[in-house]
Formats: sequence, C-alpha cells, structure tokens
Amino acid sequence: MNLTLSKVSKTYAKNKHANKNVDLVCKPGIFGLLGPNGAGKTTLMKIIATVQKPSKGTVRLNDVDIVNNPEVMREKLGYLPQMFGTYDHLTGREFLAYVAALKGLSGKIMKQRIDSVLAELNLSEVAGKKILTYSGGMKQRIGIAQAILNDPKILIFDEPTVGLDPEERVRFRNLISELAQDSIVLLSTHIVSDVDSVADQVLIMKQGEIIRQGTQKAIVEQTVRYIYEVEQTPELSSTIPEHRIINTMRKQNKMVVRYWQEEPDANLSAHTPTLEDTYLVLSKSKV
Amino acid sequence: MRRVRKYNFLVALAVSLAFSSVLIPGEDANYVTLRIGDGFIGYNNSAWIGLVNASMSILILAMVGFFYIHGSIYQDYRHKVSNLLAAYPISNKYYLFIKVLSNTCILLIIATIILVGVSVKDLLVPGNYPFVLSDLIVPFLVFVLPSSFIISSVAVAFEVLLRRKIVIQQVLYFFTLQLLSVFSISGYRYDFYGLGYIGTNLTRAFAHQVPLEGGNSLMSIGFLFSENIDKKYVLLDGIAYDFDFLFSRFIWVLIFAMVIWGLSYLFNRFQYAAKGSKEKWKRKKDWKTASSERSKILPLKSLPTFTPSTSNLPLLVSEIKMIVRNQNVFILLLVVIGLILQARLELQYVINMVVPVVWFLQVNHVAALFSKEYESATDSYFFVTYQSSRRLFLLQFFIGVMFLCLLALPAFVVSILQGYPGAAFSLLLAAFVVISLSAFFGVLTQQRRLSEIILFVLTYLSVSDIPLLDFLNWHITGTITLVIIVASFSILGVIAFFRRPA
Repeated sequence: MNLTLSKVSKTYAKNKHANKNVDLVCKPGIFGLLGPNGAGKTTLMKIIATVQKPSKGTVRLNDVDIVNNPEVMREKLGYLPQMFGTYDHLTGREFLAYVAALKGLSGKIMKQRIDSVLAELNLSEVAGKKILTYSGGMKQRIGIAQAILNDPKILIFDEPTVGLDPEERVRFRNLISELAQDSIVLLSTHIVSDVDSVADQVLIMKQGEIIRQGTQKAIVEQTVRYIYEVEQTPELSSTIPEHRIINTMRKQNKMVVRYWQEEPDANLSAHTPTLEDTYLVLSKSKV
Repeated sequence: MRRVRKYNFLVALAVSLAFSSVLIPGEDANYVTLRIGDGFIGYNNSAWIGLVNASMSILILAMVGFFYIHGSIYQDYRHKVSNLLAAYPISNKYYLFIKVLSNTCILLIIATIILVGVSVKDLLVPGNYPFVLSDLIVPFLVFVLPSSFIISSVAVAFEVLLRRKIVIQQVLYFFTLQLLSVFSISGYRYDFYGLGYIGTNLTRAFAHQVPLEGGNSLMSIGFLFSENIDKKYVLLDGIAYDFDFLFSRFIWVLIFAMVIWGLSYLFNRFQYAAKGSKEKWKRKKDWKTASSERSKILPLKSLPTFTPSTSNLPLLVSEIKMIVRNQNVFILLLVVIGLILQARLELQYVINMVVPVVWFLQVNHVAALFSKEYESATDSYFFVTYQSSRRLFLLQFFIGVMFLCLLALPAFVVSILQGYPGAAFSLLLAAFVVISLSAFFGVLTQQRRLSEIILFVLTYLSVSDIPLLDFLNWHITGTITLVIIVASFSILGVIAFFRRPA
C-alpha cells in the first residue's frame, strides 16, 4: 500500500491557497498531521479522501491516479470528517447497516463486521438505541465505527478524538495502532499527545505547506534544543526574546515561562523538549 | 439576514417576480385571476390592479409563504444556535416576537417584490387609465401587511404547540387554510385576511353597474384558465375602507400578538429537543451483549476479508427502514384512513382528492429523499463510499416512485378493476413527476423546503379543484402533452442526477 502526493495544491481564489505544493509519501503506519487552524490539514485530507479535487498536482494510490479514478481510493477508504452528521432516527446498528450497504457490505459479513466494530468501540450496549439519544462521545464513536467498517486500507481521521473521554481516547489510539499494521492511517488533530504517543511520522503544516516531516524525535531535535522554565518577573521580558517563549503557565501559584534556546545554560537545569514544545514554537514563529 | 442569504430565497424572489408578471391578465388573456360571479372583472386600472395584487398576494403567502417561513425555531435548534441562545438573557416572549417579526419581514419582501413587479407593469404597459400609486399601495398596507403578520404568527404558534412534529403542523395548517377560506366570506368579524371585505365591496361596486344576484355575486380568487370565459368588464373606482374594517385589522394583529404572548409561557427553548425516550414502538428489550453473545463477536483483525458487493438490496432495505422508522402514529393513522377511502370512494374523488392528500401526509419523507444527506451532514463521507452518490440517487428515485405508488395502491387496483388503466398510468406518471421535482429541488437547494412547498401547492390545487396544473389526470391530456411532460420532468431528474458528485 503506497500513497504518494506530488505537488498537490488547492487554490480557492486568486490569493487564497489552502494547500501549496504538498509532497508526501505514505506507507502503512500512522501519520500524524499537526497544524494551527487554517493550516490546510482538512483540505489536504479532503483531497486524499476524493471529496475535493486538487487544483494542481497528483495523488496516487499504488501508482493509480485517484484524482481521475476516485473509485480506486473509495473502495479502500475509511473517512471520518471533522464535522459530520448522522441519521438520528436510526439506531446505531441500523445506521452502521446503512453505511455498510454504501460501502458494499452485505449479508453475514456485514453483520459480523458491525458487531465487531460496535464491540471495539464500546457501543454494543447502546447499539439498539436511536442515535438521537447518544451523548457527544458516543456520536463521535459512531463516526469512527463507520470509518473502519469496511476494513479500509486508507484511514483518514480528521479530529477524531473530539468529545472522547481519556479512556476512550486511549482505546482509540490502541485501535488505530492495530489497524496501522497494514493500513495507512492519517490522523489530523490539535491534541499533540494523540499524535505523540502513536504516530510513526509527524507532519506539521502551516499556511498550506508541510514545514516539518519526520519522526517525533527528529522534528524536536531540528527545532528546539534546550528547554527551560523560570518564574516570570518584569525583568524577564527584556532578557528572553518573544520568539523563544513557548508558553506561560501557572504552576504552584506562580506564573512560569517556558522557553527554548539553542545553547545550554549552565545555571539552569534543562527540561526535555517535547513535540508540543516544537509545535508551539513553529506555530508562533514566522517559519 | 440568515434566510435572505440562502439560495432558495433567491429562487423564491425569482418566482415572485415571475408571478407578478402573470398576476394581472390582459384583456386578450385566456385566464382570469380575480372575478365576481361568473366572469365580471374590472378594467385594468390601478384600483383594480391594486385589489387583485392584494388578494392574490395573500393567497400565495397563505399557501406557499407559510411553508417557506415555517420551522424558523426548529432551524435554531438544528444549527445548535439554541445552545447559545439558552445562555442569553433574551426572554421567551421577546424571542418568539422576533421570530414572528422576522417571518413577517420575509413574507413582506416576497409580497413587495410582487407589488413592485405589478406596479412597474402598470406603469410601463400602455393603457387607457392613469397610474395611481396610492391605489396600489393602500390595499397592500390594509390587507397584505396584517395578513403577513397573521400567517407568521400562525407558523410560530404551531411550532410552539407542536414542536418538532413538522409534518403534523403542515397537515394541520392545510386543513386550517381550508377553514379560514370559509371564514373569510362570513363577514369581516372573522375575516382574518380581509378577502371577504374585498369580495363584499367589489360586489357592491359592481352591482351599481351590472346585475349581480345571489350566487352570481361570489368572488373567486385564483387562476382560471379557459378559452371560453365570458369576460364582462366593469370600471372600478376603488373600494371604501370604513373605520370598523380598518380597526378590525388592528384588532386581529393584536389578537394574534396576544396569542404569541400567551404561548410564550408554554415555550421553553432550553428544552426544545424532541423527547427521544418516548418511543411508542420501543423494543421491549434493548440489545444487550450477554456474555455468551460476546464470545461470538470476532475481533476486527480476525474477520475474513471481503470483496465489496454491488448489490443494491442492503441499501434498498436501509432506505426503506428510514422511511418506516420516522413515522408518526397520528399521520400513519390518517394514511390508513386514506387507503381505505381509496377503495371505497368514487374513482374521480380518489384521484383528485384522496391520493394527493395521502401523498402530502408523507411530504416529509418524499421531500427528504434527496436532501437528507446534505441536511444531516452525512454527505461529506457518504458520497465517497463504494456505492457512488449517483447510484444512490437512482435507488432513491426508484424508492420514491414505488413509495408513492404504494400509497396509491388501492387507487391503482380500483382503476384497473373498473376498466380505467389510463387512470392507473396517470397515477404512476404523477408519482414520477412528484419525485422528479423532489429530486431536482432537493439536490439543487440541498434542502427539503422547496420540495415541500411544491407538493403542498400541487395538493392544494388538486383538492381545491383549481385547474392550474392537473398533475393527476394525464390520461385526459393529449399524447403530445404527455410526451412533453415526461421529457420535461425527465430532464429535471437528469439535471439532479448530474448535480450529485460523481
């Protein structure tokens, strides 16, 4: 399974570029897509999911151009958009049966897969109730369920953990880790910890472009070297440049500034840089 | 602002403008719109045009306008704006009045477009009579303005009382409209819209010039097409507006405003959601995974691979389930009564009245067939599945036609048994026409509203025996007309098909 994006661009108006010359090669595994709002993550995912066509560039799945042959992608695709609805008057099981029919499942296999997916997402007990009665988290899980129903080889999740409690988020991560053994999983999220713990590769997007790509360790090392935390004082603002400040937070009744620098400071003990630090630095900077 | 920025509002304005161009028939036209008795109509001076415009505008607003503005509170709920409104300090009274006033504004915009169209035509088309603007505006202010408020209040009142039971509201309004039409001619004490006053005064004005007696003095509003209309023209100087009548307009507005004020005590927007737990057809046992059943469920990774099936059957079953699932018991009962009546009444009544009403009782499902993916926000992932959206469209089209045929099944059987296969064919063609319209408007506007309005208009025209568009008796028309009809509606269906994403 091989997904290749080559110079993919999406332009909406004269100067409005949602994606600019995106190059990407994906093999089975989990690809975490991070980026601020408006970075172009959702547009990129929609292009790969054949919801939209790119303005330029090609998207190939196993050397087949899916822009002109979307059915090749759709046969293998499981897609959860960022904003999605359901048919509230159907029960969870009935809704999945409808989706299964759309995905070409029928008969005994359909029933088996629906049962398994419901069990996997802890929805078995509410499967017979109308979606109207579901909580936000349950609706999100139904969304995930419909995406994985057809044993997809390409899974695209756009903000999948919204509304899930911590336990469900852990279950979700375990689920996609299992699925990623022979599938390509693209996961877009604002929650860095979701990506940090499971992604094989991380892609950081900004203003329509991929500005960093690689493993978590490589990306962190490329961007931030030494992380320090000090108590915020009036004098501090003149000594630490704005672009080095990662964030300001409250810890034990004190305001603490977390910042990074390229050279070590012998007077302070360094903290281990995290992916979140890197992401925040890149979001703020003019990179 | 929210509503005027929608695509379907542009459509409504375009239709209003088109409507204004045919509202006032010329002297050589083969139709009339407002007449007294069996053909007394006024010369096209501003006084007559103003009254025709007011009468026809009220008819259109009452018939179509209601469906256009209906559901304004439900829209807040659907778009989750109600979650925000719940935390605002706005009172229920104020909220409901805002809804009534915004509905009124929408109706007035539509009516004003019609008035402007009619006025421009009166001004520009050369005629024998001077253009008097006040003769056009005064009837608008006296009749259309308060009527718009009343229709808006009725729409909001129905929503407060019946909440999300949209279909019941529409059915109830259909019968209310019939009732109000009767009241309108009973004197202005109960004349909500003022149409009775127009009729009485026109009759009085005409009676000075032509002999009008008994049944020959009744006012008729609506399009009457006939090559053989014996039009008898009368010059109208206008009608007088006595103080009692003008005061009654104010009183009616006040009454409906008080009704809304009273209903605000019953309305709690915090709990507008339907009570999903009240499921009349609730299963006795919810499906619970017993430990023995859990052991039968295979883990995902150990499930066998499969080849996607191209069978339509599972999709067909699911679509049918959706139609059946979302049925209201009361509506279902009316449908059953309708089916029984189809087997018992005379065929012509069945075709012209019972079948269109039974179809209208299911307007919700018919209109939603092609727009539900958009309205439920499932289109973003449904249309990228293995079964393409166009294939789904064809299936939905087939289900729609079959569903309507099923609702008219007794009529089909009776037609054939009584030796009228043409009537059965007409019903099939009518089903095709209705579904084509639903497909066209559902896909283009991505909402069900226009489809609902059109089906309502078709039903109303049929039941009220207004021969504007007889969509149920194709066997009476000629072959060429039939061919044109089939081709036209097929084109609509094809356009809708190709508008769906590939």
